[in-house]
Amino acid sequence: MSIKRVIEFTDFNWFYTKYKPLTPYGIDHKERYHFISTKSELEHIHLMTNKMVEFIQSDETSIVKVEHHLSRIDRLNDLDKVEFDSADLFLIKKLLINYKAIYSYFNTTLNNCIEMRFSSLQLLEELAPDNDFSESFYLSSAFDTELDSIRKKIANLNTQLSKIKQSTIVTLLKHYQLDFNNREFILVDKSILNTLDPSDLVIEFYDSHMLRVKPVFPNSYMDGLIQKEEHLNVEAELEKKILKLLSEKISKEKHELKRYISDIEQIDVLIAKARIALRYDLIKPEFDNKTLAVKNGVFLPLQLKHQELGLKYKPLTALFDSNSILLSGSNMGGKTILFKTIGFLQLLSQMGFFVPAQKFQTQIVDEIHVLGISGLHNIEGLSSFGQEIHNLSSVITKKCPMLLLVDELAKTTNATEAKAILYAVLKHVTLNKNITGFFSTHFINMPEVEGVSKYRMKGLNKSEYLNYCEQNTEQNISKKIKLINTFMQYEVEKDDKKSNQFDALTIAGLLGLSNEILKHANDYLETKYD
Amino acid sequence: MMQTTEWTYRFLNASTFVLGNRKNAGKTTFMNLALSHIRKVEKPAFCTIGIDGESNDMIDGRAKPIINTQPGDGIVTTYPMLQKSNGQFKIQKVFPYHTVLGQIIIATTIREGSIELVGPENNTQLNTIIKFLNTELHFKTVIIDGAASRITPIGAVNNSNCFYLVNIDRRNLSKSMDNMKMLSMCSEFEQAKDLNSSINQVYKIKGALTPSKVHSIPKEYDTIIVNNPTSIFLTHKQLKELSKKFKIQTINTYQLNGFVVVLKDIEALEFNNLYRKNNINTELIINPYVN
Repeated sequence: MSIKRVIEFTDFNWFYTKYKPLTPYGIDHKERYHFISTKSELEHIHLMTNKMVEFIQSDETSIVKVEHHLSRIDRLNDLDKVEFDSADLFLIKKLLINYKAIYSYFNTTLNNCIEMRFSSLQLLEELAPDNDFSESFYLSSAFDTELDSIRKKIANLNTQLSKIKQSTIVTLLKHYQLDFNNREFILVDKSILNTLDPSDLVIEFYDSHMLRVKPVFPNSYMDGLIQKEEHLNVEAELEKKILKLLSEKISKEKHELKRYISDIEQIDVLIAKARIALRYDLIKPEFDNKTLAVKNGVFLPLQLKHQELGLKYKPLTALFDSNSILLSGSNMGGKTILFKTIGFLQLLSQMGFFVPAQKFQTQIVDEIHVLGISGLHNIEGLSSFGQEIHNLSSVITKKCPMLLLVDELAKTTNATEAKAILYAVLKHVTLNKNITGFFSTHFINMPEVEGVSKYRMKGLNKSEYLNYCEQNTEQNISKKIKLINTFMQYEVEKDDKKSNQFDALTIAGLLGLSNEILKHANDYLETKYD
Repeated sequence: MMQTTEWTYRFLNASTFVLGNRKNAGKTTFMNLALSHIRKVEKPAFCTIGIDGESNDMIDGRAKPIINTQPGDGIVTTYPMLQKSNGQFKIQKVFPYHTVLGQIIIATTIREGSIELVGPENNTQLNTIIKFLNTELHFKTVIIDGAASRITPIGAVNNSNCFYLVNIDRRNLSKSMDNMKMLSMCSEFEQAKDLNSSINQVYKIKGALTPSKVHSIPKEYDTIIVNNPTSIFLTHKQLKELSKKFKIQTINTYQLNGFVVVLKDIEALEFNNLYRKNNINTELIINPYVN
């Protein structure tokens, strides 16, 4: 299932960018947007996140150290190959050093839960024969006595060559006042050509004014270079031999290495989840409910926007007693926000996160669908009605458990037929308990459907609002919106059918619709509903 | 004109690009010289941008330019290049950046030798590598063998500057002087900061700034923004005229430490006089290989 639409609808990436695994493996996991619909897997992740939260709270220092080691880990190259080079060995050594350190920081209980086990101490020691356990690697002379011996010979030759070179440079400086220190060649004026001895200097044409000169080194220097080259060839062969031996050892332990990577990914993801749970005060969701219940559920992206605008944010508290919910309410009354909150909490839960609520009870679904929300992906050539029906048909007949969030179904067609379609779909949902469907509507007097629970948003607190308006007048549009927000009661309640809530006209008045038009509209309502 | 000791210190505690006016301009020879001076003060690190595709160095005429590396140096290259080298190295970092010549790594030199450099293929990677050299391995001085005539990446690296190497003979003297005047002038342009500002009358040039585009700039604007100094295709005279009418800003800027001029068939004194006559403010190193 593609969760792209629900991610977009719930502004999920606002949250996701704050979730920060540290290793390339954790980041890969994050980028897969893994939506989980297996209860055992979800419960395991939530249990482990909980343990990690407890661990952070009890021993923050160790977790910071673990995070430090996680952030050091690089992505390994292919472990299935036969020959590993020094770059591969560097990466493996670095993984082992950091895995070992992470393993040592976890207490026994946590280690058992994650099933961490470090069994590559011997391999690590073999990768550091000179006891150099820093995050670096080279084929040290300690790997092999022959290698040590040939390198000593190379070092001696280097010293000899350097002495010969320096002696030649000193002689040339003394004789010609030409300083070849740090220079492989020098450009000299052509006028000194006759003073230069070709047995001391290689003389080449440069331009009409200058000559390029290089030192001529004695034969002993050339002999030394030849000998050094022979030693370098032997060194290369010995290095190959050591690489082959190490490669065989790594191949034998590749399954262990793969397990370490898997453990690292798991730990990284769990710590990042625990960190974000603590940052936003998230709690573990519950999955056994047939219906959905939320206590003080927070749609975090909106809460932040409210904070920025200085608005009060009202968390969602609701107990939905059916799998088929019909939600009505005023414009700007929060129906869409309720859907976003539900979608956000469900998505978080099934991506293995804790949720921003005091309680969130739900059931595991295989799919989440958002329908009827404008601005989401459209198929070219279809009208908005056609698009909506196409999207609805493609999901509603599926047999898998799903959460359906449908905003004003068939709103672009005539009211009579739209009501009929909504009625029919509600009925279908009541008969298919695998679907948990939330439907918003502006229709008044929708016919009763057995099994459908009706809810409504509380709407504008008219008495308080009118009281305020008697004392204040507000012209600025953003302040007007803030005012609506202030007096809007973002609460959901059971629709008891005792009263009709006509907030739209009040809001229209607040937003500037003329008194004359409003009077006509109110007269019409009085005639129709008295 | 800067002396050797003076220009050596310009490299310290910074990331310095060595650029050239053409392929085989002698960047590697100059880098080797600069590195030998820097080592007297501290251990340097060095790298290149992209693959060094230059087959020979015009200054010393060698078939393949090589960098000499000494114990303690930091180098950025690929593992196959380490294998080819006669030096010995300790791998300090392996990046997930793969080039046709292998995976990019950072190593420190254990035994002196010569090394061929292979660099990252984009500015983001280069920035990450230099940050690692600075913060993890504590190399404060980094030299980057820049691609010929490409100054774009300089702005991508924090605290960076450049030396521009120019090979000049009688045939390209006039053109080279014009090019140096342009580079010097462009290095003094301010960086465009608030691209969305509507307070100033700012006109953004799309793509290259060509003579025909100059005529289409509305007169009511007081500032023009060019994406990159390399996208200015005007003569120095045209650019100077334009700068009298508009304040010119660029999105990518660069700090030019100096020109390194390698002369052929031109006397240093003659060139120096010509340089001064052209009122170029940038500092000058002439013929660093002359005795």
